[in-house]
Amino acid sequence: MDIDSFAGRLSFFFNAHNDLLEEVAKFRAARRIWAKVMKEKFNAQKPTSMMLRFHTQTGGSTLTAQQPDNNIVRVAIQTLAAVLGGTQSLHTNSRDEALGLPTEDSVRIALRTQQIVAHESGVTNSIDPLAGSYTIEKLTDTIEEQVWHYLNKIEDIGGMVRAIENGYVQKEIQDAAYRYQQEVESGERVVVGVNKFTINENQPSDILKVDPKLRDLQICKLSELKKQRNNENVTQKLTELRLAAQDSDKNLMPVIVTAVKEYATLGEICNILREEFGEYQESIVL
Amino acid sequence: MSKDERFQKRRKNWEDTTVKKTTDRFPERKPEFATSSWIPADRIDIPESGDFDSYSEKLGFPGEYPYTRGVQPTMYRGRFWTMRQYAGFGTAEESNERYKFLLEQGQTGLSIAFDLPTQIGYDSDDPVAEGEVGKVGVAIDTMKDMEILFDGIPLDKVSTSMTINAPAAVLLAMYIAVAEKQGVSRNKLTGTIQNDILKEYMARGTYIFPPKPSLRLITNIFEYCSAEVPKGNTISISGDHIREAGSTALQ
Repeated sequence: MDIDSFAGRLSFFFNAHNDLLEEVAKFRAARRIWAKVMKEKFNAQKPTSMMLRFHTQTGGSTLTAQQPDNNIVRVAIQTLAAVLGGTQSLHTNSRDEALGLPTEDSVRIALRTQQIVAHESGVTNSIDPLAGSYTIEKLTDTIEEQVWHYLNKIEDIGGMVRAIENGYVQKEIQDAAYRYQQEVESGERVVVGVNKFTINENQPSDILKVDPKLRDLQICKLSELKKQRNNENVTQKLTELRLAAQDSDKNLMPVIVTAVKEYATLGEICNILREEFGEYQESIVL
Repeated sequence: MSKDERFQKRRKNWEDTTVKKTTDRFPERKPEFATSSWIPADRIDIPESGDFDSYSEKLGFPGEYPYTRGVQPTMYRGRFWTMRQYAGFGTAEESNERYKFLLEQGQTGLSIAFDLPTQIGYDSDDPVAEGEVGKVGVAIDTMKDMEILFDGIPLDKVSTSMTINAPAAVLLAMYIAVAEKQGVSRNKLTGTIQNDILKEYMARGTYIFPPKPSLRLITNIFEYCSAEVPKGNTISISGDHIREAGSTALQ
């Protein structure tokens, strides 16, 4: 495939954590790296192929179950990081997501956080307002350098698929996670309300929980539907899907579209693909 | 250090070409921007002196290579980012209600969270779904659920993001089919499917198939959408879940 025929349709999904300046630098470095990779390595010609567009989600793992209202402040910092980093879209987590499903009040505050940054903070008036800060530019350069180091390393291994298959990537992530956890446990890294400034608190009472009978209800709906749909057509579409799966030159999308229109279920379709493609087992590297 | 005229010249060139091309079609939100105490805020601030070549190579201008300062020429002066809350739980009915609430509150895009059985391609009545149906997202078994999920939400007006990787092809097919039933043709649909299976092996674990057939499915979606759903982003390459599994910012 020609790189310019699809690169403009790629978008990225990033995460914004609490270290404001490092996060801003990360987004800026990511754009610069992508532009260079597309231009120099893949020889892209179209400008849109070189533009890294991204969605950001604030960091779920930074939320604490302790003193959950503190999470509103964390999310506000992360929102600033995403916006100062130039995100195209943003999800802000709700304060209670470490406890359960977000309530309506909580998702409203999370959305209002974005609206306050957009309309009141003033950071949207000038473009890339942190540029030229010694700290931001140094961090941007450093992150870029270290990312190139990783990219080269993965290429040496033989590409990302190989690097995953042999466990390199998983190990690097696990090592960083382990180090982080150790720092939290030793108290070297402060998490407010968790390993410092703790209080005695009761479990909050207004946690939204999914109804345990929900599965029965969903099963009921499903069996009703299976009685009503044209099962002959479903079987026929599923057979067509199996044949298409066996022929690696065939595009599976059109046959999947016709199958779902006959109300073939997600499980029925995926089971056919499981039978044809096999299932993946992870290799564990310690 | 004395002023280097090249900076201002370069900026003027950016204003006259890259910016103008955008503002001719999409004017900025306001004719003038200012701080709280009415100090004028320029579209962009740049150095007056210093290493011009290094600035051009490393930072440049928004909407121009290497895009360090942003991909759009006017960024948020033109339009804010899309405010897109990731949501979904329980049944399609409950999630539909939440989506309508969020849209009423000023959210500008939808983002669908699926429950775990859906993410790994099992129906709610499958034994592996026990205890997980509707828990971390909405349960979708058939196109019927999808019809309820988007009931009363015009799919040509909102952009939808679906966080789904392994069974992305099936959920996308359902989405397209529901849109058609609403009378919205595929070429009007906007949105993103996450569809980044590699990160499932790295960090998250909701994979189904081995990497190779998974990549085939992604390519199939790419090719199909290039032809049929031109406004969609067919893959969103994911740092988020890798970070959530404990990696550092640069990893």
